[in-house]
Amino acid sequence: MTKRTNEQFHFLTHVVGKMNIPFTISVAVFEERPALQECFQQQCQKITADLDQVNAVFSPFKPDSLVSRYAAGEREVLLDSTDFQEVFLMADQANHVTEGFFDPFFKGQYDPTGIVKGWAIEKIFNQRLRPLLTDPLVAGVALNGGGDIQAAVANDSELTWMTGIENPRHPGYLIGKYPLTNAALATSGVNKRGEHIKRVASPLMQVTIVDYSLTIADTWATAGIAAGTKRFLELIKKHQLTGVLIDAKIGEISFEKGQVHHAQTI
Amino acid sequence: MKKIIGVAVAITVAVASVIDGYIVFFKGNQRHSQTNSNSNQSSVSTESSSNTSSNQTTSGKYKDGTFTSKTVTTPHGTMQVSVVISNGKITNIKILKYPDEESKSERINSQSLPTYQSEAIKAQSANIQQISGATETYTGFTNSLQDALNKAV
Repeated sequence: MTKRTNEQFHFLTHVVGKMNIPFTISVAVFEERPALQECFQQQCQKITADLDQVNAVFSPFKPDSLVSRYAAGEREVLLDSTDFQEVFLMADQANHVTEGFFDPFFKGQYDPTGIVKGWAIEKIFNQRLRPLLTDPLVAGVALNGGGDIQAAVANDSELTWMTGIENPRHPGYLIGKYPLTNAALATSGVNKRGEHIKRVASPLMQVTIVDYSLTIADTWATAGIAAGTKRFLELIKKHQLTGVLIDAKIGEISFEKGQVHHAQTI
Repeated sequence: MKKIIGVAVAITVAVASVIDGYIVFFKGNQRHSQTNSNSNQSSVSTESSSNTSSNQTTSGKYKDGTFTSKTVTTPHGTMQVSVVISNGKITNIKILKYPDEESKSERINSQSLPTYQSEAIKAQSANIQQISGATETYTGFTNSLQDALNKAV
């Protein structure tokens, strides 16, 4: 069997802008067929509706969202939505597992925004894109929401979703890449989500985490920025994390299952 | 009550630690254990959707009693949220956690994550399909790296 390169796949791509985040929906196919194209467009419409639903429940900017009503003291909304319950539970666990560095109450009121995006992408991906892999013409699927990615490939498709990690100091340039097959990747930076993160002072600029679950990867990327380099390196070892971080003083530090592989200046 | 999945069965909830998780008892009636949590999940959902609250109704939207959500399996483990409603208001929120059937260390050992390839390159010069770290907001998306890649493939 000759090895296919990624150039031999066709890529169907669609971008949805929701919550001021670009969501890129990607499906790699062995051959382009009208039926596949139609199926892809249907899934894109469903994903768009799913994202609207997420926004209606979780937006901290909409006064009638469940998150806003909960934050305003209406605790009873916990009973109204299973999605709300799920995120509530996960935010609590994320807070516990990250030893408080992921904190949905850091503003003094409940705001799970830091976990909602990763959770929503993973959930929508599993519901709308992963099932497409049963089609023998589909080689892989990926959902990328503002740089947080959940990806999967068909068995033996030889496709890799090559994922470039942006250099926070040189826009337009990459510091490196990960060949993703069945995995998730999230990046958090100082400039990106500062409003959702409380931080300790640190030269830590950017954290990328790779995991099987985007909810987990996103949680740790957010917690890493909050913790700062020194403290986060301890958590990386303890929780066997995989990823790469950029520290303004030390440079680039990559780590695999908790083992720090190398550090180099950028 | 709309989507609420609740069971009003108990006043007291005792949480006991077993290995790395918990077993939950409702008023002496054992509903969950490490070995039969799956069957219990469905029984909770069934009961709850018919809303078996037997407590008195208040003037508010929510009936008094203890309501337990359906079990939620998350990457962090299997959990439920249990709330106590009194006079139409939530007076207590408890999170119930169950043992993982598959421990995280087993997952880590059985699969392998990709290895980082450090390489200072310009995005368009490489065989790249996805970009992380570049575009957080839709406002800045046009002419971003991901936008360029989307147009290139």
